[in-house]
Formats: sequence, structure tokens, C-alpha cells
Amino acid sequence: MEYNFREIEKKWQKRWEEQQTYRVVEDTNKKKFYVLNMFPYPSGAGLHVGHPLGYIASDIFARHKRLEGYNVLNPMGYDAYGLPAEQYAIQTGQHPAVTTETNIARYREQLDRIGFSFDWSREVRTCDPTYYKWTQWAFQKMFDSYYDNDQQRALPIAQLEERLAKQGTAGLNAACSEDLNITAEAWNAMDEHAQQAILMNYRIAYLGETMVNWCAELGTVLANDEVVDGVSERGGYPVVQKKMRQWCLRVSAYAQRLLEGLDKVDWTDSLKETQRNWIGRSEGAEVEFAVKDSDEHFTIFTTRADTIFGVTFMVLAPESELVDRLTTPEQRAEVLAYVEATKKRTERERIADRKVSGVFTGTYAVNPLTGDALPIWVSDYVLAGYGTGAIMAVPAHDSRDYAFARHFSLPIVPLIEGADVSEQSFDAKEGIVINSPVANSAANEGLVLNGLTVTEAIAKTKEYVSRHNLGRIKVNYRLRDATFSRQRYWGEPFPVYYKGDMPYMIPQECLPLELPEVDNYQPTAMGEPPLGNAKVWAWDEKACKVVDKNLIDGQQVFPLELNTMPGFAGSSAYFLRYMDPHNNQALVSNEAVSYWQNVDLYVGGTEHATGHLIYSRFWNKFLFDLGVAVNDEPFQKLVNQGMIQGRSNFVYRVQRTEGDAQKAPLFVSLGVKDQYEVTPIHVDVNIVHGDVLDIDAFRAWRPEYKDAEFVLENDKYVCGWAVEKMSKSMYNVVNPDLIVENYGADTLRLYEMFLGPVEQSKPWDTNGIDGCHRFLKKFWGLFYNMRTDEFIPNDAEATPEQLKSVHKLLKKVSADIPAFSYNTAVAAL
Amino acid sequence: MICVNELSQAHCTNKELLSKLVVALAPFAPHIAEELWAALGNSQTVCDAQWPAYEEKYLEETEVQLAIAFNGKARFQMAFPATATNAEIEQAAMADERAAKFLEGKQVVKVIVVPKKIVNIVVKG
Repeated sequence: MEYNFREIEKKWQKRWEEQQTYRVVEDTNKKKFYVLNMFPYPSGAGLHVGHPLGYIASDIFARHKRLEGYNVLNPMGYDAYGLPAEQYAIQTGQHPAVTTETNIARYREQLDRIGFSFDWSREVRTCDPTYYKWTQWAFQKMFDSYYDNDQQRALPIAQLEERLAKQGTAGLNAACSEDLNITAEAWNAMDEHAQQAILMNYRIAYLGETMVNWCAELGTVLANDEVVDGVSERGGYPVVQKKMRQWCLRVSAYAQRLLEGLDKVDWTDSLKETQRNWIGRSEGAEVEFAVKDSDEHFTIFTTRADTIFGVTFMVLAPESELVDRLTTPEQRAEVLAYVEATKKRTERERIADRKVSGVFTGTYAVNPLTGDALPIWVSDYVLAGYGTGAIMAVPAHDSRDYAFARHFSLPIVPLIEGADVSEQSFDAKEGIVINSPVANSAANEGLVLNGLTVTEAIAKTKEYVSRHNLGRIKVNYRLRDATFSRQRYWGEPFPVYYKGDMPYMIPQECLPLELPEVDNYQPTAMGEPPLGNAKVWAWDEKACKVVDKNLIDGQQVFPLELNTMPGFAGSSAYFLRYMDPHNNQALVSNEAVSYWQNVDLYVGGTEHATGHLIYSRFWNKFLFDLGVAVNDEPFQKLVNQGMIQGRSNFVYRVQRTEGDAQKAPLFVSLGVKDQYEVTPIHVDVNIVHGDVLDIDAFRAWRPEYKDAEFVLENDKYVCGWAVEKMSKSMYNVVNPDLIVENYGADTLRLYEMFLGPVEQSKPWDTNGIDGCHRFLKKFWGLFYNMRTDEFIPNDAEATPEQLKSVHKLLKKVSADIPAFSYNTAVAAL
Repeated sequence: MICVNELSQAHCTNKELLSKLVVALAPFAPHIAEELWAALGNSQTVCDAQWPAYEEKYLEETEVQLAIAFNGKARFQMAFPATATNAEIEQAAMADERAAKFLEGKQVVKVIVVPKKIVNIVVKG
């Protein structure tokens, strides 16, 4: 009996569906194991062979765990909101929900044919109202909470209101946008509007002013990668930096816990390092500098207070409010012009660009330790968002300060013995300190660091600064709050309505607030986001329902929020929702989350290191503070699968001289191409087999090739090959459907694992598939006689060699699977 | 691939061993595994089978192959039980009929046994 893979695979996929083989429930008699794949965005192109790589790897692990007696949760769903469906809607008029549905159906079909052990009864879709009800709910909870730094957790905002009414901000240590000082009397005297403005300073989901890339012609905010050289990628229109009121999430409040949590999880060192750098904890001092001949003073943040002796000038970020306060009338025009020009540059451009520019403000600061007068400059190499937006410049020991000093001929004072600062700054934090202070200056009565090592100097200065109240020790994080508004249609609506400029949450019982219909998916003529086109998009506060906009009266009916949530909203808590996807009363029941806890194995790409993997950890910690999640970290172990690189094929077209331009194209085989002047051209790998071209298929592939001629080798056209990124433009994308059709899903699965270790990138080579298929045929041959249909296994005794062979195999595979060494496991089988 | 090759060559038909093999394959190639598991007479899905544990006792090497060399030149191979002593190995090597022609008319100076690798018989004359 032949190995009829088509029949077998169809039969069992049907049987598994009928018997709900992969369906799991909480079973306290069994130990749980939660395997999770990063869920896909259902694109129109469907799967290419690179996608199943991670899914197959996790599927093998999941199946093995079940065979070991675990109760395995292996769910799957779709990250369905996003830009491509919206762009397609704008181009074709088809509603994103419709194209998304079609794409999902196609994805599902392709996935089903590969034989995954997913529990589809738990499927979620981020665009489904019964799912995003809980995304909206979490947002409302964040709005309703603030972060207490002493207790290191989120607490209900009502507690903050009580506290402000009793004692004002005295002793308050909470995460906030600005440090405020308010007495209880002042608070109690405020009207609701004023109080709400104060509370917004503390809310975990808050309306804040952020800089955005605004394009007036397109009437929309653009993401950083949609702006190139100060103009929009689409259309080349001017883009300016504009301050806009947007929803934000106070992710920075959780910075310390996000950092500490990394010690608890089993992730690669490289991934942890990336997150540590992204969080960017630095300990430093906020030091106050007085302004010469003035009552003004300002604070700078520095991680190297010990270098204060080498400060020769100060620099303000162009957006800093200090610029206005500290610029003299004479310098005003030049400074203003500079600040305007900076508005056109994005932060990314400013960090990357090394060109020096700046303007003198006309005023001077006084060095608190030496009394020296330090000129105050404005330059865009200082960012407003980090620290206080003002720095003390030490050109001898910082490369950017050095470049600035050289350009504008400012003094450079070395602070380390032997440091050569003639060509560049001396950035190393080692050596013996000098000039701290300079000999014979009055400053020698105060702090003296000369002769100490840099490390000793840092510690001594820290102590001196806090003892003499020159400033305070502060921990700073690079991690910023997340901008949470998008001016898009195809995303979760905010459950928010406005009375004037004050946002109000719609009652929790009224969730979800469903995405309305619009007749146009683009921004409105007035520059509002696409939801501005919706007719029925206003909130009736009394009736608690969505009504037509023409009923807005500012008394009972109010306008709803026009922005939508960003892509990471739906993917931040999906791992919890899978535990209890049909619960209408809660995101997840206590029973379900107490059993499933968190994800034991998370499989997906490394590109999410500073996006999804930060946001989901933050979101989970918030839910943990709320008592909803039972584990502080969502993903215990993370495995990043490598990419499958394409194996491109090339044909060689003979270059034509002018006279021959009209002749049919001539292609020469690989072995003889050096005898001609040729142009290599990518050819569709699906019409090449074993690097030999299917000539008929080639002639049919392109109309201009229908009369192509060939110079062959041994009656064959041999193609050249190269390993490159798998991409449509190189015609080397291999569709898994084709492989499954010709060899079966089991062969595809074996082959993708046999290609190489899970975490490495490896080249695809269709030529290797035969080997895996023959292996399965041989396997089959141990059970069925190929010619007689006889079923072979019987009670004949096993020889010692046979026992050794199988037990050796079992030992190897048992060790290889937990180590994700699937390629060696397949080789051993 | 290695195990299947070995079992094929050995014409293994033992039901118990082949069953374990099916379970080992199941996580990788679930469809064919399910089909063969059913053919073996099991009524439940292979997904709920028990992962087969290996037993160390079957993994012991019972035999060792050694090259037999004369004055450093390997001439033929011999198999010995794993428990054989160096003295037993030396004796058997010298007594083997293939050794005869290399020993004829020569004096044995010494015999070096390198366990699991080679027996070198040094001769003179």
C-alpha cells in the first residue's frame, strides 16, 4: 500500500475537527502548559513559507508536552486592525471589515492544511467588538488610575482625589507629567474643570501634549517613517513638528518594574539588553544653575556631576520654555529663526544628524562650584524630552559638546590627567582627575576632586551636591510614555466623549463602543481624523447610546472621540483573553487565569523587542495591579525563530546591440554564460526544478518571452542561484500551498525543521524536500508492504541492535525537543 | 532518518518498537502518525499516547570494533565483546588466522592495545 498523503491528511484533519481533539479546558488534575504564537496580521498575500516556521516549531513543542501528560493551551487568532486594510479600502472602496474577513478565511484554510494543534474554539480577532470591549475597558481603567511610586503600583484615581482634598500634594510621590505643588485649600477651591486638569497630570491614560509630524496638505499626522527629509513620503508635502493633544499611556511610570522584571524571565541576553537600553535607566543629579545678573535660575540633569569643573557653556533645547526667558532682546531674532527651523526636523533626524548648529542667547549662567560665567546657547542636539531640556556642556569629555565647542570656538577644559583633547573629546570614564578645580582659584575652598579616580570623584560629588543642596539625586529613564492616538479609521474607537475640551468615559456597561460606518476612509476636509466622516457618532449621556451628530446640543448629546487606538492596543492583552474568550462579564475569569497563569513559551520574531514586547509587559503589569493578571510577567520564555531566506534563480539574457533590438530574446544556460555579454534576471523559482528551467512554463510566464530562444547545456537550461531575502520582487517566494499539494503537510513540516536550528536564519531549498518525502515513504514502508498491502508489525522479537537503535533515537529526540534542536531530531529519526 | 534507515535495513517488524517510533514521529508529522497509530489497533488519538521513555540498558555498547595493526600498519578489523580484557584481546588477535601471515617468521617485540581503537603488534625479523 502506497503512502497516500493526500488522503491521510484530509482524513485526519476532518477527524480532529469532528472530535475536537485540540480543544482544552481547565483541568486541575493536570499540570498546565501555555504555548503561544505571536498572532498574525491577516494580509491579502496569505502565508509564505517563512510564516509557518514559528508555528511548526511551537506545534512540535506543544504536541510533545501533551504526550508528556500536560494540559496544553495552544490558541490562535488574528491581529486584524491595521493600516494595510485601511489603505486597500481607500484604493478600492471595499470596507476593511470585508477584506479582513476574506483574508482571515484564506489564512485559516492555509493553516488548517498544515495540521496545527490549535484550539480554534478560543479564536480571537482584535476587530471583533466582543474582543475590543476589553481593550476599551482596560483603557478606561488606566484613565481611572494613577501610579504611586512609593507603593510601586497603580491605584484608583479616587484615592488621589481624596488625598488632594485632605493634604494637597504634600508627601505625594506619584508618576506625573509635571511636579506640582498644591495645597488642600487650593484644591478644594477649584472648579471641576480645574480639578480635572490637575488629575490629568497623574492619570495612567491621559491627554497630553506630544510633538507630532503634521502634514497640512494631507490633513493628517504622519508616523516617523512616513516622513523623509522633512517632507511626506506620499506626495512630498511639507511636514512640521506640531504640538498636539493626544491620548498617551504613562508607560514610564512602570520603567523600574519593566527593568527588574527582565531578571525573572528566560529570554536571550541580546533581547534583554535591547530592552534594558530602551528603558535606559541612568542615575544622576539635577543641579541648579543661577543666571548672571538675574533672578532666573534653571535646572539641568547630568549623570556626571563630577565634571562640573569642566563646564564651559550651557545648551538649551529649542523647544524649552527657558529659551524665551533667557534670550536677550538683541539675540531674539536669530534665536527665533533657529527655533522655527528646528520644528521641521523629527527627533530621529536630530539624533542621527551630526551637523553642528546653534545660536547664543545672550545670557550667562553661573557655575555653582567655580563661579565662572557660562554662555547659554540654543542647539537642536539637545532634546526637550530627556531630562530637563537643558544641559551643562563639558566639551573635553563628550563628543557632541566637543564638536559644538570647536565649531563655535568655545573653551575646552580637560579634567583627566593626560587626556589629549586636541582632536576629539576624551570619553573614557577612567583616569586621575585634574583641574577640579583649577589650581589657585577660590573654588578650592569647596569640593576638590583632584587626584581621585573618576569613580571616586562621581561618588564624592554626588554626596556633596545633596549635602549642600545644590540639586537632588534623580533616577532618569529613557523610556517615554506611549502615544496612544491614531488618526486612522480601522482601529479601536476610544470610549470617550467630550464636554468642551474635557473627556468623559462612557459607562462601562455600555461597552463596547462599536466602530461606526463612514462613506470615506480619509481625513475630513477640515483635517479631522476619518471618524469625522461618520454621521452617527455622538453620545447621548441620558439615554446612554450612540446617536446622530446633528443631535449634539452640549447638554445631553456630546461629540465622541475621533481618534482610534494604535496597533499595539489589541495585542497587549490577547494572551489573557485566550484563557477565557467568551466571557462577557470580564476580560478573564479568576478561575481561568489562576489555572493558566502566564505564557510558558512565546514564539515570534525579534522585531518586536521595543514595541509589542514592552507594551504588553506594561499592560500586563497594570492588569496585575488591578488584580486581573496573577503573574507580573506575561511571557516566561521567548523563542525567536530565524527567517527563511529565499533561494533565487537566475536566467541570463544576452545583451542585444542596437541592430538586434527587434529579435526575440536569447537566454544562455549557466555553464556557457561567460561566452556572452549577459544580464542576469530573476526568474520565478516555481518554474525551476533542481535548478533546471521549465522552458514551456518560462515562455508562458511573460508575454515578451513567448518566442524566447535558448542556448542549452546537455539539452537543459541550467539556472544560476543565490541566497537572498525571500521577497516578491525577487520571484523567490515559495507558497506553502504548492508544497502541501505536491508533497503533503507532514513533508513540509519535517522539511522546515530540517532546514536548520529554529533560531537561525536559513536558506530555503526546494531541492531538499524530496529527501524528507522519501523519509516518510520509508517510514510508511516499515508498516505496510508497498506491493502487497500487508500490515507488517507483528510480535516477532526485537533484536538487541533494533532495541539499541530505537532507544538511542528516543534518548536523542527527548533531549532535542526541549532544546528546540528539531533539525537534529529529524536527522536522528 | 538514521533510525528508520537502520530499522529498514534490519527488517524490523517488532510491533512494540514500531509503536514507540510512531509516537516519537507524532509531534513532527502528526497525520501519518495518527494513521499508523490507528492501524496498530489503537482507538484513541496518538496525541494522548504516552511519550516513550528510553531505557539506558538497551544503549550499552555490547561489542567493540578494533583495527589490528602490525608495525603501525592496519591490516584487518576484529570485533570483541565490550567486557574483553586487554589480555584476551591480545590473545584473540594473535590467534586470528588473518594474523598468521604477518607473524610468520617474525619475533613479537610487544603488543599495544589502545581500548576501542587499535591493537598494534610490533614485530622484528
